[in-house]
Amino acid sequence: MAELDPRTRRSDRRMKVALLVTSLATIATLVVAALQENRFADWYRLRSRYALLLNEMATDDAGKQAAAGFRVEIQQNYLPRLDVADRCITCHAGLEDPRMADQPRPFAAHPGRHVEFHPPEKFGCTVCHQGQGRATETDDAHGRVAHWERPMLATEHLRARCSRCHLEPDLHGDAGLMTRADRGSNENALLLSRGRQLFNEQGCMGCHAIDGRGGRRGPDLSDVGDSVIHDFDFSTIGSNAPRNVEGWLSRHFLDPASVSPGSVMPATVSEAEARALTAYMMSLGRSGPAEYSWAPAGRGPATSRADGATLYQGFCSACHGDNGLGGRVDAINTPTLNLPSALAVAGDDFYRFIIEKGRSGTGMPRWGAGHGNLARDEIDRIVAHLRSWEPTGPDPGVADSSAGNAGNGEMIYEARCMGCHGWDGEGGIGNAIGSSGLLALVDDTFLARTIVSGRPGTAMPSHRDLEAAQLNDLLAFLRDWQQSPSRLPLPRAAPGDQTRGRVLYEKLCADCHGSQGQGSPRGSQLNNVSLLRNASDALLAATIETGRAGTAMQPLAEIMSAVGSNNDTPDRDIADLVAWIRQWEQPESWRIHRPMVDDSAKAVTAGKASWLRYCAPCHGEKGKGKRGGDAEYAPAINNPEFLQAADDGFLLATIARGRAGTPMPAFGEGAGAGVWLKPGEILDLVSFIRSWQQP
Amino acid sequence: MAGMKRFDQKRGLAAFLANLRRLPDTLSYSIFRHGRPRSERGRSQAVFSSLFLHLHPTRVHVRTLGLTATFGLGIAALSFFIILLVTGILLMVYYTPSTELAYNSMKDIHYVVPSGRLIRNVHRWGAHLMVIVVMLHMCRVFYTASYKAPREFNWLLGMALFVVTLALSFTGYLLPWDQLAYWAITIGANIASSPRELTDALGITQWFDPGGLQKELLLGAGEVGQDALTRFYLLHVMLLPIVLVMLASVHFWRIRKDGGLGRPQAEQTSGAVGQAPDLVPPPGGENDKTWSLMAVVRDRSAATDNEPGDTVATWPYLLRGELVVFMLCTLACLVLGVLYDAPLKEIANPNVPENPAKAPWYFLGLQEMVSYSAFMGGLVIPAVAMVGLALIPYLDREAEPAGVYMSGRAGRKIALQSLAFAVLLAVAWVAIPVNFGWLRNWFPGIPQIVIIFVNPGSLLTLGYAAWSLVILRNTGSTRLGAIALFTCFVAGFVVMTYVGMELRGPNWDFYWSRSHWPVH
Repeated sequence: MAELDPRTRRSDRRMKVALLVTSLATIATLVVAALQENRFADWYRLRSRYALLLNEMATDDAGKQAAAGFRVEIQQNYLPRLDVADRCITCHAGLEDPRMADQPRPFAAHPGRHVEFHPPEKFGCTVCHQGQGRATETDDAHGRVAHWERPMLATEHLRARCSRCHLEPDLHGDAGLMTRADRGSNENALLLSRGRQLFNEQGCMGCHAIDGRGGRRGPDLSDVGDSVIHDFDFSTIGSNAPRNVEGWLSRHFLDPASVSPGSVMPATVSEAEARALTAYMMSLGRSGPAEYSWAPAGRGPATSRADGATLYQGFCSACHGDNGLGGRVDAINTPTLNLPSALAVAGDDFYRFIIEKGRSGTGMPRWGAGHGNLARDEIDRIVAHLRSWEPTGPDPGVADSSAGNAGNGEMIYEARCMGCHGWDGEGGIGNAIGSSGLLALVDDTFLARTIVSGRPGTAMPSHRDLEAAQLNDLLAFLRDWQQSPSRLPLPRAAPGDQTRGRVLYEKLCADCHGSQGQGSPRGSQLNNVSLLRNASDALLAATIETGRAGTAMQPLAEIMSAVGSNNDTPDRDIADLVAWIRQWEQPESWRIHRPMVDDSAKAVTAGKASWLRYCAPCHGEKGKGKRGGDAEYAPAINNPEFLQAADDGFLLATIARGRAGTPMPAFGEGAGAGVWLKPGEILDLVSFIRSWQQP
Repeated sequence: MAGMKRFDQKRGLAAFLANLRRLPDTLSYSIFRHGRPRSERGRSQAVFSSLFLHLHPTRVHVRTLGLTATFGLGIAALSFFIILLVTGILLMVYYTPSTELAYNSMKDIHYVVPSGRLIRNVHRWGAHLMVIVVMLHMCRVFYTASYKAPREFNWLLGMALFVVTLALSFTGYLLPWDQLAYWAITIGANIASSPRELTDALGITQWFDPGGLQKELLLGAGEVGQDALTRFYLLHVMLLPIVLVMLASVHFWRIRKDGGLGRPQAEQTSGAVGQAPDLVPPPGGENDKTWSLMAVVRDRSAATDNEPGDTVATWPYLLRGELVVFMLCTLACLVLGVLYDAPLKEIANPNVPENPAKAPWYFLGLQEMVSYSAFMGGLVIPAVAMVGLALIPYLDREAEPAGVYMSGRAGRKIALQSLAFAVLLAVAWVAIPVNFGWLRNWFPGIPQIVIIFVNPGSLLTLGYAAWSLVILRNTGSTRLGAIALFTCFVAGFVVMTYVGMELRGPNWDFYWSRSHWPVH
C-alpha cells in the first residue's frame, strides 16, 4: 500500500467508515423490523395479554392446562368452501370460553348462543360480521381502513347476514334460546321483516328485480347486500354521511332523486322505514353454499303463493297506485286501472296479455317469463284482483222484464246500446238484439246475465253499474220487439257425440263460424266462454234447429239441404253439434280473439279520415298518444302489444261507449255528446287502427 | 509381503490432523485457485482468476473510486437487481399467479408470512429505486460522454437494459392483482394498442390492426385477466430476469473491454477503434501464464495505458467501494420498507374502473402524451426518443475528453439553457390545453387525423428537435447538439411525468393538488 497517495488513503478510510456505518445501520433496521413484526404487532400484544388472563383465571386443573398450552401465535379458521381465512380468533381468543363472558373486548366471549350453533371453526367470523379476516392488525381486521371494501357490519345489519342461509321467520328467534343480547338482535330481525314488507308495500318490484323477478327499470337488487362502496357514488350524499353501503342506501331511500340524480324513484318513506328497507337490502345477496343453507330456494319477497292483492301491491302499485288510482312513479302518464268504464270493456285476456307482454314505448314492462318472471297463474291472480274493483251489478237471476217500464228502458237503450245494436235493434257492431226469434228463445235471465256481465271477446261490455230496476226497464224495452210469445227451448236428454259433431260442424258451420269457432264477419263467435256459460244446450239446440230470423243463420234443415247432406236424423245431428260446440266452454284463457272488422283498403281509407278528424287531436296522427300532465294524457295505441291484446270488440266498445272518467268521449250513436258515428264508421276506424298492426 | 509399503501409523494420524487443520485453506484454494490473498499481487491474482471478480481488471484507475465519477449508479442498479432477485425468489414461495388466489396470497404475505411484509416492501421500493437509478446512470453516462467510441455498443446494451428494467417493473406491477395493478396494466395495454388511433382515423382498423395485435400479444386476451397474469408472471420471474442477466453480463464485460471507466486521460494513449493497443506487461509479471494470452488479444486493458501511480488495486479498494454502494442500496430499501408499506388496494374489479386510472409512474409521461394523441404519445414519440437515444453515439463522433461532465463549460451552459427552454416549453404545452382547450374545442368539426399529428405532445417533440438543431448549427458541435437534445428530453420526461403523477385527477382533468379532486 505504499503506492497509495495520501488522498487515496483518506478516501479509503472514508470508505471503510461508510461500510461500517451502512452495515450497522442495516443491522439496526433489520432489528427494528423484527421487533415491529414480532413484538409490537397488535396480535402479539393482545395474545400475550390473553395468555396472562388465562393464567389469572385458571382455578382448576383444566384451566391451568389450557393456560399452559396457550401459545402466542397467529390462529386462523381456514374454510375454503366459504372462501374464508379468518384470523379473528387470534385476538378474540375467548370467543368460545364462557368464563370470558364479562371480559372486555377483544377477549370477551361471543354474546348469545350463536357460536354454539355456528362454531367459528365451521363458519369463520367474516361470513356474518364482514371485515378483513386475513388481517392481523386491529384496524385492518375490522376493515375500517382504506382499500378494504367490506368493513364490519353494525349490529343493526347483522341479522341481514343471517338471512343468507336462514328463512326470515327463523330469524325472530326462539325465546327459550334468547339472551339479553339476542333480544337486541331480535329487534333487528323485526326491522328486517318490516323492510321486506315495505318493499312489497311500496311496489318496489315494479322497477327492481330480485332473483329474476321484478321490473328492469331500476337496478337489479338481487346482490345489493354484497355490493361495496365502489358501486355507489358518495359525492351526492354529503361529506359527513357515513361512507359505507348501509349509509348510502339509507340516505338514498330518503331522497332518491338527489342521491341518485336522474332517478324517478319516489321519496315516500320515513326515516324509520328507510332503516328497515336498508336492513332488507343488506340481506339480499349470494346465499351460502348449499350445505350451510337452511333456506329453500325462492327467497323473493312475493312467492307464487301470494294472493292477487299482494302481487299487485308488490309489482304494480308503484306506478298504478295502491288502489289502481294513480301511483307514486310517473303517475301522470300511467293509466288508471280502477276505472269501471275500462274494466267494463276490457276482458281478462286483455289484462293478461298486457301484463305478460307489456306495452312497448310506454313505462309498462313485460312481466312474462324471461322478463318480470311472473308465472301465468300469478298474472291470473293479479287480473282477478283488478276485477275486484268492479261493482257486482244487479243479480240476473231475479231480473224480470214484466216488472220494468219500457219507456225508461228506451232511454237506457239509447244511451248505452243503440251505438252498436242500432236504432231498432237491427244490429251493426253488436248482434241483432231486436230479432224476434232470438227474444222468443231466451229468458230474462239470459239477457240480464249478458247485459250485466257483458260478453268478453266481443264488443259487448259489462254493465254492472245498472241498478236492478234499470235492468228490468231495459229488459221490458227489449221485450217490446218480441212479436211472438216466448217458447223457451226444452231440455233435450240425449247427450251428443263430440267426434261426429265435429265432422258435422266442419261441414255445416265452419264456413261462417270458423273452424275453431272463432267466428267471422258472417257468423258470430262460438268459442266464447261467456256465451257458452250463459247459453244452455237447449238454447243452442233450438237456435241450430230454427236458425235466427233476420240474420244469416238458417235453420239446420235448410243448411243441410243447401250442402246436399241427408237430413234423416236431425235430433242426433243437433245433439252432436251441441256437444262439439260445448267443448269450447273451458276455463281457457290467452285465447286469440276473432277479427270483427275487415281489412280492405276501402275500410282503412275511410277509417283514416275519421281518425284524423276525431282521434288524432289526442292520440296523434300515428296513434303515438300524448304524455304529460293536465289531463292531457292519451295512451299510445299504436304499440304492437296493445294492438294484439285489445281485440276488435275492445276497440269498438271503447269508441262507441267512450271511457267515463277519462277525456275519452263516446262516439256511438245516442251516447255521449257531440259526434255520433254510425256503426260502419266505427268499424272502419277500427280497420284503420288495425292497419298499424304488423302481421 | 515384501513389496508392500509400510505405513507409520503415527505419521498417518498426524497427516490427517494436519490436513484437517489445513482444510479451510485447501478448500478455498480448490475453489478460488489461489491461496488466501495476502499481498497486492495475490489479490490481483484472485481478481483475475475468479469468474465474477474478473469482470474487473486487477487494477483500476484511481479516478474510478471518486464519488462524482460515477456516483456508483451502475453498481447501485446491479445492487438493486440482486436485492430484487433475492426478495423476488422469497416472494415466489408464497405467491400464486391466479386471479382467484393472487390477491389473497398478497394479503397472507402481508399479514402472516414471516417477514413477508418487509420482503414485499423491499421488493417494491427496490423496483422503483432500480428504475430511478438506471435512468440516472444513463444520464451520468451521457453527460460524461462515456457513450463515445469505443463504447457505442455498450450504450446500446445499456438502453436494452433500461427497457428490460422497465419491462420487469411493468410486469411485476400486475401481480398483486389489486385495483392499482389491474387498471395500471389496462392503461399500459391501451398505450400498446395506440396505433389504433391512426388506423381508426384512416378507417383501416378492420383490415390492419397492429395496435390490437400488440395489446393482444401483451395480454393474451382482449382485456386483463388470467391470461395476462400468467404471461406477466412468466415474463417477470423467468424470461426477463434471464435476459437482464445476460445483457448485464455483456454490459459489464464490455466496460472492461472498452477500457474501463471513461476518463479524460484515456484518449491520449488509446488509439482509434480497432487499432492494436500497446502491449504492456500486466502487473502479474513475466511468469504469469496468461501473459501470452493477454498479449495476443487485440484489445485494451484498463490498466495498460497508465503509470502504476495512477492505479490502485481492485481488491480491496474498488470492491470495498462497491460493497458500500450495495449496503447503501440495501439500507435504502430496508428503511423505506420499514417505514412505508407497499400499496395494496382493493381486489381487482373489472367493473369498477379506477378514476383516474394511472399507469406505473415511469409511463405517466407517456400517458400524458397519450391523453393528447394515443398514436403520437403511445408510439411515435417514444419510438423517436428511443431511436434518437440509440443513434446519439453514432451521430456524435467528436473526440471529446470522456469523464468530464457536459464536456466542459460550454456544454454546461448549453445544458442549463436547454433545461430552461425544455421546462418552459413543456409547461407551456401543458398549460395551453388546460386553460384554452385544443383544436377539438376550437374547431369541433376537425378530423381526428389532424389532431393525431398536431397536438401538444408532437409539438413539444418538434420544439425540442428544433432547439437542438439550432444549437448544433450555432455551435457547430454535434456533442453540444446532443447535450441540448438529451437535456430537453430528460427535462420533458420529468415535467410530463410530474404532471401525469401529481396534477392529473379524475377523467385526466387538471388539478393543482390531490386534495381538490372531487369526492367519489
